Formats: sequence, C-alpha cells, structure tokens
Amino acid sequence: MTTQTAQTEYALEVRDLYVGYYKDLNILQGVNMKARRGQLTAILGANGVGKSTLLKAIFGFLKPNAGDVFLNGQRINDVPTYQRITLGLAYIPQRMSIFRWMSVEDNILLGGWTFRHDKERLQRKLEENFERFPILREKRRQPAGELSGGQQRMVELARTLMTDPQVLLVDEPTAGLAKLLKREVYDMLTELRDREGKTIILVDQEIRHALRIADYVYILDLGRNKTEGPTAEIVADLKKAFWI
Amino acid sequence: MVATLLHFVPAQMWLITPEFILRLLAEGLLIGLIYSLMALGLTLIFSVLGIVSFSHGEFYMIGGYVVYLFLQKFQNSLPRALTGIGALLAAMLVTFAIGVVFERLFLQPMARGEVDRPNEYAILTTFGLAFFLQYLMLGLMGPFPKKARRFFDLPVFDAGLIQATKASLKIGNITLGAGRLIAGLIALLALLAMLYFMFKTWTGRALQATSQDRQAAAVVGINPMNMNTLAFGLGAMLAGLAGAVLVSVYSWVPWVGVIASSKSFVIIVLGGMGSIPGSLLGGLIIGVVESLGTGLFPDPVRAQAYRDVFGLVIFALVLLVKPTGLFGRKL
Amino acid sequence: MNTMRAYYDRYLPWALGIAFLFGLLVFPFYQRESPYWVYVGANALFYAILASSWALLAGYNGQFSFAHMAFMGLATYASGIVGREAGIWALNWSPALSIPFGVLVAGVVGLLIGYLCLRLRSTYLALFTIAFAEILRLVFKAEVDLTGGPNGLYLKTFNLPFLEGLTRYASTYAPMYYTMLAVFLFSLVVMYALVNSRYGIFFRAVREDEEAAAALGVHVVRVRILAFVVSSMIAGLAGAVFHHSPGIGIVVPDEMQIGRMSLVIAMAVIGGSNNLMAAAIGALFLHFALEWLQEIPMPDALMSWLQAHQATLEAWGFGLGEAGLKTNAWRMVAFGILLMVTLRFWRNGLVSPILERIMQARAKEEVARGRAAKAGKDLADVDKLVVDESPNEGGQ
Repeated sequence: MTTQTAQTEYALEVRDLYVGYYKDLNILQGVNMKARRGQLTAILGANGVGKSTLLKAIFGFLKPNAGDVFLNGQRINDVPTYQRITLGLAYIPQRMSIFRWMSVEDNILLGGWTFRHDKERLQRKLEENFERFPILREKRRQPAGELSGGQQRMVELARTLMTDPQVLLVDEPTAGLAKLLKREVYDMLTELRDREGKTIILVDQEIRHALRIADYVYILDLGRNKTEGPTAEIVADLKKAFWI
Repeated sequence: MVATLLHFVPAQMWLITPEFILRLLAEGLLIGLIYSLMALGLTLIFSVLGIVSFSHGEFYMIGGYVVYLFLQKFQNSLPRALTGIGALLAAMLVTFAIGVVFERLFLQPMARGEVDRPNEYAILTTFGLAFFLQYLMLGLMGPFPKKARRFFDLPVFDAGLIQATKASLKIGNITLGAGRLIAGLIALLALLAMLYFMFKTWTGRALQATSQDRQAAAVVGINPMNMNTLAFGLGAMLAGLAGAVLVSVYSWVPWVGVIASSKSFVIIVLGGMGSIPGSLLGGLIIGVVESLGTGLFPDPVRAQAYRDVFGLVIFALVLLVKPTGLFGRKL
Repeated sequence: MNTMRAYYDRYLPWALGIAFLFGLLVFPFYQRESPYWVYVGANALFYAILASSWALLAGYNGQFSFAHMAFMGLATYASGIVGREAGIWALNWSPALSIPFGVLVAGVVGLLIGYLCLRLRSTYLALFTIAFAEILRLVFKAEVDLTGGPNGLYLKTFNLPFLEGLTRYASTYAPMYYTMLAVFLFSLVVMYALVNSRYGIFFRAVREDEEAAAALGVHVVRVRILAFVVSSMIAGLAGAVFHHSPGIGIVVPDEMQIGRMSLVIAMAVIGGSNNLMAAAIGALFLHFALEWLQEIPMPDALMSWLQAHQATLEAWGFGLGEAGLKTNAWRMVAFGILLMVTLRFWRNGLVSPILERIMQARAKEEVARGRAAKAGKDLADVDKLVVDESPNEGGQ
C-alpha cells in the first residue's frame, strides 16, 4: 500500500499535552514526544506516571485539556476516535480487547470494518494474516475468548493489521503473559517494524525487553518528560535515565 | 408412579386429556415465540447500551395501535394481505423512529458520560418515556379497548390429518386459532431474520462487537454511538412488531404494555441478561409455563387471574437465586 | 447591612416554613365553599407522603423501588382484612388497632423484601420490585374471598369527634384533610430525624458507593434494610389512614398498579428526589396542578379545529370522542413531557434547587458534612454505631 506522498520525518508528534480524567486534575502535564517513521519508540517510566494515559489521549479515548497531537503533520485532535483507524493510526490496549464470544475469523474480519464492502481485499488481508499467524488458521472457528493469552494477542494484532496502519500504539503487550510468550510477542513487533516499516510506539514495564528492541526511548516522570534519547545513549547512562 | 401422580390431579379431571395438554403446549409455544421476539429486543438494548428499557412495553403498545389505525384507514382500499404487510411495516417503522429519536435526545448524553449516576438516569428516563407514551395514547385513542381484525387468512386446505379453514388449523384433534398461529409464525420469521441479521451481516456483527467490547469496537472503526442508536431503535422495533402481531388476538388499551414489558423482564432475567439464546429459550419457557399453568390450575376461576403471576414468581426466584439466569455471561 | 443579610439568610427558611405550615392549616377554612378542593388537598397530602418517603429510599439511599405503592396497598389491605366483621380473618378490629397492625405488616414484609434485595443493584432491584408489586396486586385481585377481588375491599372509617366539629366551620372533608396533614407532618418529622442522624450520612454514603461505604465501616446491610423498612412503613401508614378516613372507606387492587407508582415517582423526580421536602412540595403542587388542569377548557382555536376534524380523526380510528376534546386527557401528556425534560436538564428536580437556594447556609453545611463523611473523617462517629463484625457483608 502506498503511503502519503508528502512524508514528514516524524509519523507522530505530541506537543505540550495536558490530559486528565477531570478538568482540573491533569495526569499528563505538558508531555512532548515525536516518533520517527519506521522506528520503534518506547515510552518508559514507573507505574502511574501516565504512560497508558498518553496512548489513550493519542488515540482519542481521552480528550486533551490542552496540547496537540499530529499524525503525519496533520492535527488530529478533533478526529473522532472511531475514525482514527482510517488515518492509519491503530491502538492495541493493555487489556485484552478481543470480541470474546465471536469466532477468531470474525474477530479478524471486523478489523476490516472500514473497507467491509471490498470483499476481495478482505479475503486477501485475511489470508495474509493467517500466513503471519498460522495457528489462527487452525482455530479460525473457535470463539476468541477460548484461546490462550498469547493467541488472543495474535488475534488482536491480526485484527489491527487488517487495515495496514502505519502507526501502531501498543500498550504493555505482554502484561500477564508467560515468559516464553513474551519474547514471541516482542519478536512480532520487531518483525512488523523491520519487514513492513511500521512506526511503533510501545509503552511497557518490561524495561529489559523494551530497551532490547527500541530505537528511541522516552522516559516519563509524573506526567512530564524526564529524559529521552537513542536507545544506546539511554542504556549507556541508565543511572541518569531511571528512577531506580 | 402414574397412579400416585393421579392422586394430585385436580377435580375437573375430565378436562385434562392428552389433546388438551398438547393444545396448551402448542398455544404456549406460539405465544412464547412472540415473547421471545420482545425479549430479544430488550436483550439487544441491554447488551449494547447496558441499560434495561422500562419503556419496552410501551413500544409494544404503540406497535399494536399503529396496526389498528392502519387497518382502519386502509382495509377497504387495499387488498387484505397487502394491508396486513403494510400495517406490520408501518408499526415497525413508527416504533423504530420513536426509539431512534428518544435514544438521540435522552440516552446519548448518558453514553457520552455527561450524566451523573447513569444507572439511575437510565431507569428514570426510560420510565418517563413509558409514562409519556401511555398517556399520549390514552389521549389519542381513548380508554376503551380496541381490537383489530385478523389481517391474514390461513390458506384453506384439507390434508387428512391437517385441516385448515380461514380461521383455524386442525392437527389431529387439536384446533388452533388462526390469529395466534399467524402471530406466532410472523414472530418466528422475524426471529429468524433477526438472527440472520445479528450473525451474518456486517452491521449485526458490529452490534455484537460493540456489546462485547466498546473500546475495541471503536478501535476497529465502528462508531459506538451509532450502534447505540441502532440497537435501541431495533429493540423498540421488535417490541413494536410483537405488539403488531398480537393486536388482532388481544384487545388493546393504552396500558397493555405494562404486563408485556414485565414479561420481557422475566424472560431476559431468566435467560440471562444480554444473552440471545437465553432470550429465545426464556420466551418459549415462559409461554409454555403460563399456558400450562393456566390450563392446569386447580381452580379455573382463579386460573385466569393468576396467569401473569406464574412468570413473575419464576422471575423473582431467578433474580434471587441465580441473577445470571440460564445463559448469563456476567452481571 | 451585613447583619441584615445574615438575619435574612437565617430566618428566611423559618419564615417560609411557618408560612407554608400556616397555609396548609387554614386551607380547609379558606376553601370552605368548595369541599372538593379540600378533598383534593387530602389526596395531595397522601401523594406528598408517598413521594417524600420514596425520595428517602431512592434519592437518599439509591434503591429504586417500584414497590412503594404495593406497600401502601399491603398495609391498607392488612388493616382492612383484620377490621372486617365477617369472612376469613375477620377480627372486627377498630381502625385504631387495625391501622398500626397494617403498618406493622408493611414493615415486616418490607424487612423481608429489603433483605432479599440486598444483593440486587439498581436495575435488578427495580425489576424485582416491579415483579413483587405486580404479584401482590394480582394476588389481591384474584383472592376474592379474602380481599374482595377487583371490586375492592370496604373498610371501616374512623370518626374523630374532635375533628368532626370542624365540618361545621370548614368543610365536609376537613377531618380527612387534617388527619392526612397530621400523618404528613409526622412522617416528615420521622424522616428528617432519620436523615439528620448519622444514618442520613450513611444513607448517602451507601448510595454514592456501596463498597467504599462498607470499607469505611458503614454497616451497609443495616442501612439499606432500615431505609427500606422505614419508607415502606410510612407508605403503609399513609395508605391505611387515607383509605380508612371518612371520605374514602374502600381500597381497590388497581391502586397498587405500576401506573400509580409512576405518578408518585414522577412527582418525586419533578420535585427533586434528593430532597424530602422538595419531593413533598412537588407532589402537592403537581397534584393540585393536575386537578386544576382538569377544569380549564382547551384553547378555542384548537377546540374548533378538533371539532371540525373530529369525523376525520375518528374515521382514522382515533378514539378522541368526548374525552379527547377536553384538556383532561392531555394533562398527563404534559406531565410526562415535564417529567422527561426535568430528568434531562434538571436532574435535581425543579423544587429542590429553589429550596436549596433558600436554605443556602444549611445546604453548605450539609455539603461539608457529606464531604467529610466521604473522606472518612466521620469515622469516629461511625465506630460507635457500627457493629464491625464484617464490613464486607453487604458489599456483595
């Protein structure tokens, strides 16, 4: 799929974002972030500093009280959440968000809701996904809720990839998964970046894994930027970067 | 075993023959189909919007009145079958429209999170709609019972075991009135159509998706607010259709919906809130229990009066003992 | 100037309260030419008691019961049955004895239902109470031997000699009116005493967040049941006294139907269900408004239009006829619209904000107390009252 002709250097940019669940109580207090195209940007920080809140705000589940979100240089603050997928922005929440009582195939097909009338493209995309995750082809008729945690993540990812989003917001993809599966999930993410050139923004508690695969790292502290830099720099000076 | 059971058989034993029981069963199932239809509407609303609509019975009442009015106006100018179909469509259209308008005006603010204590708001505001619609129809139609003529005839045939006249169907020794039979058949068709819609079409799947995970539905590009409106409109429409097919069986007054809605509450609780198979099965169970209960109640004078109590007692028990019902997913 | 203002703020509520009470007291004398309006007044008081006790249950404690009218009917029927001279259960008790008995029955059943409802949350509770109310109504309708069936049960009326004298100066319905007024004031006093005690804070705490309240040590079970029993008994008292009074003397099962219940709920909501007094005033005002609307004719223009088109409308099957051509049938439609608009735009009702404005000083205090309770600063009081065996018991 061809992407926009006028490509900005940064696929996603967040400027001075103030977000909160209540009007006068901001969890994010002026966060700035840029995600370079085709790279994996990790956002790290202690529990409760607002990492997940940032992703929710970028996707529009929370309305910013101030500040802007740009996708490919376009301001998207006012685009309704459900239309953001059509801009090539996708979100994988921390909580497993599959449709539990629907079959695996229906789950994945619903990912193509925005082009539901294009039967041929739906079939093609479904096939692509089954090739990406062969296990899902075997279990296509099963209710998605009966799958294992790792496989549910696969369903989620497959559903998300139906529309070929260019920017993926991923929130703690391995929370609650077994150790062996974690590696698998991170490999899936790196593969998406390396093979398909996706821009990925990863929020995670698994610092070790995140630092292994990230290209650029942001560290948040209590709703504000603390440090940022290419992964190598951050790893070189962990003391300065971290809250430990 | 049978002999001991016979001891408990009531005095008017002569009434209870196998044919009698079969007829009760058949009638119960036919009415049960209509209950299922209504309950399916309520289930749809509950699973997508997360609220119980206390105005469900009033949509049922409106559906019936629309058919009545439509027949009054067109029964002499249009062919019979066409009038019937037109009346049903009109009832569905009107109830759908009222449902959609109400949802947009009163329930959307709740879905957008602009209202405190959404649960209480949902109860009161749907209840307010019920109040308004009841008195509106009382003003328009007056308090006296109306009854629509049967708007479809059975095809007349005689195939030995099964015989049909315009007004009744005879299978062996069991005779069923055409009114109920046609109402049940229409309800069955509507149920099948609804199931096809829910499970085989994109819009139906989107409704299901929204009911299972609103956030994920928004992530894939479904507009959850539109799904809310659609679900409420469809739910209202199903209730309207149930009323539309029954208006030629029962006589119609503005408060006819009260009992009907309490029955659909019974069914969705029995079947498990938000479960589609639950509402289908629950409807049939309630239909049969009512029919058998009324037919076999020891005291025929009280039987009719107690007809509506059977379902309510089951209801209260289910709520207290197993609030998740037969197929409940979660509370 | 400031002191003037302070005096004004402080005494305005009292002045208005006394004026209101005075108005209620002299009403039958003022209306002595038209006993009908005194009768309407007694009815309005009846609804005011029901609305305010429903507000105690729903607005303060968050239990949306639809069985309030059922408890009203239950107490009345219980009282009526033991007061009969013949038939099943007929004990020939006088109203002075049978009314307390009826109220007690309502209380005991309320205790039972309140206990059964503990596990049920808002919507489920509403559904369960609808079922209970309907079962009770249908049983009363069916058990003809015991209750007189759909035609109703005749009740002994009470005669209060000291009030009878009033009929000469006020109006025929004065005894009934004053009895209802006494019950009204009594129930308000009881409810305000309850609401202003520590339990009032517990009621609201349980409504806001049951788990949090339980965690703070509020005995949720006890609070919820208490609210249920008290409001059921008050409803029962209102019902039993009202139906035993000289002007009535009969009760029919259809008074317990959901339609009547919805009237009470609508009154409480339009008045303001988070405030007992607002609900009561709302009910008084609305009942009078509805009666008054019955009298006024339709606007001429509309009337002539309707008359001109009556034949067409009837050909379409509309049953307007005689009834539809009066405002009579349409007042409830207006009432329904008012209810929905109130719900949508004035969640606190129409009367309640006015009252709160008048009582600003006290309202502020109450808000502060509510906040304190929420923040858990009131726990010192809580300890004295709450048996702390298992704070989670009611949380489920």
